[in-house]
Amino acid sequence: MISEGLANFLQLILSGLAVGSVYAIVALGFVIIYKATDVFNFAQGELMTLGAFVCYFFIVQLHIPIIWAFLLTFVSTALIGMITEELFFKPLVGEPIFSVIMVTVGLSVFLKGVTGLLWGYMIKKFPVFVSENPISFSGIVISPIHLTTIIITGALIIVFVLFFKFSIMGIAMRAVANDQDASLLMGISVRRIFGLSWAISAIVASMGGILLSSITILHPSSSFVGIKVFPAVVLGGLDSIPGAILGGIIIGVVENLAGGYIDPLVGGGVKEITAFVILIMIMMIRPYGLFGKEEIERV
Amino acid sequence: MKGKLKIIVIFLCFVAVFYGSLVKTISAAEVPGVTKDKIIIGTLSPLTGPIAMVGIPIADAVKDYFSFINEQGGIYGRKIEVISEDDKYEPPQAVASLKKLIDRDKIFACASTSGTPITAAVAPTVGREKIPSMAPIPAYGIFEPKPPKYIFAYGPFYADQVIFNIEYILFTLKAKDPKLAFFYQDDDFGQDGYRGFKAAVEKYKLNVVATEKYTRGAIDISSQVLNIKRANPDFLILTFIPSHSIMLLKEAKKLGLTIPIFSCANARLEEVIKVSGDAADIYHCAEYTALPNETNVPGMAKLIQNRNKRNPAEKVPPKYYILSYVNALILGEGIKKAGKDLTREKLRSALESLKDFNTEGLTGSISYSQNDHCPMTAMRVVKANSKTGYYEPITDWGLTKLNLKQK
Amino acid sequence: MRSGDFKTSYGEDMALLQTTFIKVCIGIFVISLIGFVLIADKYSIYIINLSAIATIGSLGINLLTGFTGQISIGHAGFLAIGAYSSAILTKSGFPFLVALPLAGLISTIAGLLVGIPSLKLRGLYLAITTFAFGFIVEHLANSWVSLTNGAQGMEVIPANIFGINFDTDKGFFFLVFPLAAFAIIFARNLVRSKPGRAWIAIRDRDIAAETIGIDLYWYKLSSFAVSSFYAGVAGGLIAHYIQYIGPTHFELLVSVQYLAMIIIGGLGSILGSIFGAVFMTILPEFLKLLPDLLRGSYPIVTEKFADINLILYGLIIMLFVIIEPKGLNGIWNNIKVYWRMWPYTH
Repeated sequence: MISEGLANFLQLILSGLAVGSVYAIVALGFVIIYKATDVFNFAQGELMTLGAFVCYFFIVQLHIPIIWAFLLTFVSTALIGMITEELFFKPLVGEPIFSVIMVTVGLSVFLKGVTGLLWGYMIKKFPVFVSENPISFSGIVISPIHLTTIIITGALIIVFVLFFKFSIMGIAMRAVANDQDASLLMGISVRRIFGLSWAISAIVASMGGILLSSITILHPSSSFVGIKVFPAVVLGGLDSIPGAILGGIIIGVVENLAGGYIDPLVGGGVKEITAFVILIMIMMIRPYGLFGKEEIERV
Repeated sequence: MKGKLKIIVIFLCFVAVFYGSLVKTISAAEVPGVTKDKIIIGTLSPLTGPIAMVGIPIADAVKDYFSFINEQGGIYGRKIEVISEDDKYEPPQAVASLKKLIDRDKIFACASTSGTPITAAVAPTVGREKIPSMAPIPAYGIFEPKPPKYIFAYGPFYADQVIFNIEYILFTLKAKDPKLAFFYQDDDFGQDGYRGFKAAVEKYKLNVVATEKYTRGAIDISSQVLNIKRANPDFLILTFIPSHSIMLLKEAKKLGLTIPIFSCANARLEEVIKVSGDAADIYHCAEYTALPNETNVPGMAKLIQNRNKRNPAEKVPPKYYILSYVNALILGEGIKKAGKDLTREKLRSALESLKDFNTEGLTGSISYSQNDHCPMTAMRVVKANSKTGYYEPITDWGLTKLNLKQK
Repeated sequence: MRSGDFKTSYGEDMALLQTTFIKVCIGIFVISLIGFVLIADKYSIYIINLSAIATIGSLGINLLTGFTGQISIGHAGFLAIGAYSSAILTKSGFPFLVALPLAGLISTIAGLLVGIPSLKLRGLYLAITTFAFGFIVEHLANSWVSLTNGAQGMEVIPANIFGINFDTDKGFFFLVFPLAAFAIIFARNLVRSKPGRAWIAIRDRDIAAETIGIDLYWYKLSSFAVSSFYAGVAGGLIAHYIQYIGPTHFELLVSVQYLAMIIIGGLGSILGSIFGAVFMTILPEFLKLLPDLLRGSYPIVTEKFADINLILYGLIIMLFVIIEPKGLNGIWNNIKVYWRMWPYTH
């Protein structure tokens, strides 16, 4: 048995890891699109929620077994991502960045309306796919869904680091992110890479949506977690995949620690602004984040 | 020059068409919204966005009740038409929607002014237009110290509900020097709950071991729950929204926090039981309406029957449906009392003179006066039962002993 | 082609309105607008007033983002500061005529503070800083209860100038419209004079601008200052119009709406700011009127009209930007060019 103080500390860290993993997954989906296409996707939260509802649709409304439902969800959201890219973002290649951002804003409203239209606004329970009994050891408790979230996030880091380092597609995506013209000259189909990045991001978003909806509730309001993306990607570096994940996790953990130790001293309220305090500190000390690359501007 | 002339003419046509579409024909009704055979009632509530789970039932309840009235022949031969607008829970949108209802749709009265911040934002417009309106949520900020002349509601404020819960602990459970923890959403209604909590603590000299809060939209409250657990309270009092009640119950179960939890009526949703499962068995609420499973209550039986006629798919009337249905009842009664010669002023004074209005068991009796447009009506403590998926009353109807209004 | 258009003095050459034709058009527009307001219903006037206030705000953000290239995703923060300042000042007894400009100035101070990081940060990092600013303002409005009454929000006394209460829609129009007109003219003049040119240079290539002698610090900060002043005034006007403000009036959503106004209207264009503000204000109302037209024929539509509205709203925004990334101003210019060239379009 460990001391109560240590148990408390570890408990906070564990919960923080779980929450941070959710932030990390959202941030990951965001950075994938940003890295490959330079698009600042305001609709990432809505993509997440849509993914969760699509999965709900397969499991509860079509009664498909869970594993197949997950696969179907990934396939459909990947398709939705690619179609979105093709319809709405392809025509905007070369246009000023603001226009593209505005389209993502419009997309987020559009997706909100679609989700509301198809599934309504009543609170639903996401189908349970891991045990609901908490696991406890040495005075610390963790729920299986939190553990699953942490493990999946860890897996995603490994998968994506390997993907971008060693696979042809991954290297091609990095090339396109770095220099579109040179990539074209090297024979990389930039069109396909754009579509692929939206597809991957959509899959990651639906994973996040499924996990978040399992931890909390299945409801369109879950898209608000998208706001936490900013501190996470700034901390990690806007164009770094491992950075996004680590950024999310760090924010989750620091938030929880602040909530556990500082909140009781000042009567609460610190937890929520922690993320933004970190944001401001990073902007002042190291604007490019932990892993981001410093941009050298040439005239 | 001819080309320019053409442009000017086309421009003027454009302008004319644009304005023409905005200006509407001025109808000849002396009293807006009332004709020989029709009364137009409006509702304002969020029909999209996360709060739509509250707003849609509010609008539906009004529609359903007045459909029922129409089937009975209407009021003095006039059928009631209900027009619902979406305010997206955004105050400027709400003002625009209300103005549209008043100016374009010509509503006579308004059966729902949406949630508290919206009601506050549209209150100046309601006052200027002198249009009697019902607010679905009893909000301290709106009705105290002096109620708006044209807005009516019923029910205990969040502060009163918290006090009722605490008095249950003190006087019914007869807990000796209980250690209390309070957890609230850092929002207008949460802060009202806190106001009640502080008043009760002061009056009854209570021992508070933990106070926590979270910001609207937080997806994780685990550190706060942990803090509460460490403080080792005997009871936890909440002022939460349903989604976070669910999060709290799950987290409490996980951490082994098994003390009774008391919430306010706004979070008394069947979904909380459904999603939390057996974690909900420690969940109590102060509630001021009848419960959907109380089919022996005549008002509730009629409500369910009416609803099933129009919406057979869903069996259980949501909480906010019941709330709004009572508002529609009150408004209907006011219109009836105002007589055949219907004006807005007559409706307002009819409402203000309503005494001991009986809602057939749906709520306690309701009485208005010039100084009180939101009377505290009777409450009960209800407990969640995860096996049935419903709440069950564990006390009788009553009011709080500590009445914050006596100032 | 403009023909017969020659100037005989420097004054004429620098005039704001260049040809008689434009002067006549604007005159007709103003007169018909005033005439309309005198006979229209309150709802329509409300929309017009909101558009006018939005115009002031969108001019501000366009100066900052469209002309100077400094992205601002937290502009609602300036609106909030202006709104609360004006509300608190008038409540403390300051007359409206003093409170409103003061509110603008307080907002300007905030603008200068936010502008300081802009000297070191660019692009999306600056955007995120402004976003953090907006978030902080909202949080303060919610928690600083002694000042702002917290989440309950606060009542605002109606605008009162020399004893005349501007608390009807029609009356308020005659307050807002001259202010908006003044704001437009001032912005237009700013933009076509030295500050404007400096800002555009900074937007296009700020390092090059510095090398030709433009003081980046001064012009970036002044851009933030003017922009936040406009936003502060707009915020104050909203406060006195709706007569009630709360922290939820100034969320991220509002900042995004203002961004939408200038992007859809046309970045870097005064006319675009006006178009965008009017369009974004009228669009939701127009969508509200649609179900009334369809009510009879498609009952499903009225059942779920709110969600369909959202879908249409999002779609319209997306399609607009895709079809004409330069926004409404781009479309306007296209129309002008077409007419000018007609029938010799090729």
